Amino acid sequence: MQEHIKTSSELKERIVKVASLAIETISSLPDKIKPCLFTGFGSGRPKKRNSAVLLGWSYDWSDKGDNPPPWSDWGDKTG
Amino acid sequence: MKNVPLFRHIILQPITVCNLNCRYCYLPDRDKVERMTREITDAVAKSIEALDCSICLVWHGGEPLAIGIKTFQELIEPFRELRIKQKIRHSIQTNGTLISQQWCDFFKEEKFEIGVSLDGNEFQNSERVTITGIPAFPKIMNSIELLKRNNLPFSVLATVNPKNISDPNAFYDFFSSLKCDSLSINVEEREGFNRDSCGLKKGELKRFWKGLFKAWRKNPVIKIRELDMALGWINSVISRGKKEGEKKYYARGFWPTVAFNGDVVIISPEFISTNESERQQFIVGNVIEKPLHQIVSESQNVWYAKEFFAGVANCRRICAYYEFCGGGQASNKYFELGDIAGTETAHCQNTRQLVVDSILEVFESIKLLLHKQQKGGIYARTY
Repeated sequence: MQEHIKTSSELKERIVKVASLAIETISSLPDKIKPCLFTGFGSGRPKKRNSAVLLGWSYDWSDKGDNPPPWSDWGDKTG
Repeated sequence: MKNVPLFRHIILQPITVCNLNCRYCYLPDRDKVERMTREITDAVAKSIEALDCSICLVWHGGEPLAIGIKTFQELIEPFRELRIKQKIRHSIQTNGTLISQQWCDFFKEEKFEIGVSLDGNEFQNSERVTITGIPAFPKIMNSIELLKRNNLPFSVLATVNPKNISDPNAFYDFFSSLKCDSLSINVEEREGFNRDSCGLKKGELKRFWKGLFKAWRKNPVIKIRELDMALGWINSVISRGKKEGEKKYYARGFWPTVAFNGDVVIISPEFISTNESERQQFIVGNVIEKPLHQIVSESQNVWYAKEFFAGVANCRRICAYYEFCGGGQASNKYFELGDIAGTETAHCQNTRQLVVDSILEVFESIKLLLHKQQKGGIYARTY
């Protein structure tokens, strides 16, 4: 078992080492469950049809033409 | 100037009571019957009318359906026009024991997004029982069948607990065959009324996440929130490569929660679920006295908002997982650490760090296996 990661760069190095497998896994997923590229909190990931909030996922901020606010709607775990 | 609030979701507590008595429940007033009145929803709707954005209303509880369909219909009446104009949408989290055909018709008409709480198969769900200790599983499954017959999509919110932690394969098999739209997973934690730790060990949880990821990877038919978020982030790290360092984002919404009596707390809905005396310190206003968006706007500098954001700044400074996690949950910091300005909690470890670690360990073990196979002249992919 890996030791607990101490720094952000250590964690990212670990990710980069398994990049090809991660990409292969993600790209082989059916479209409906393919994860979105994580582009930042509250930055307008595609709208999920169902229970976005309960699932803690972001939704499309552009649906009513308002600009993305600078905070997340992606932090809740309501349940 | 546009009136854009500091939130996109409002959590509403139509009733405090719940007809279940789940062993890990954190709600102290789940045996008390306090109902929201039309006066409260009128006030919330009026506040939303003044806003230039769309809002998701999350009906929570207690068990929201315990209020009865007639009262619920009356409560949502002020939102009907707003829904038609697409200024709001309804979402509900239910324990799934009270859904009837009437409720299904209502959900369909009002276009509700439905979340059902369920922890797995009959054995795995056995922590979810009625007040008299009767398992809730058969009723939940009947309700799910009813939702399916009515073509109502639903998501599931499951809690990892001692009954389901040891068999992630059975857990995933159950949910993948249930045909839920998606699955979200919380880990039982010390919160609200539930301040006794159930003693889930880190090693057990890591085995759970690894087992779940492997099972899902073999047969990826449903979205799982935790895996989705972690893989999405891993993907973004890979895509960025060495081009840039930490993404310079993060601030979070204020997540106002409106209690049955119109009291408002911000940041963590769980703050409304503390006991009476404790709750007072978190209440930032009442929707009868002031518009909700104004309450939230004026509460940005309340003591616990300031402490929480100071804690998030510390998380950013010291935690390797900050870019993925974003600074943890205020309620966990309060209930677990007794300090909203604190940093790492069991929630951070159990539902953020361990998920990323587990995915990486699975990939690393596959990589090692492939390497050994190639060295030994075996090229067939057996993973």
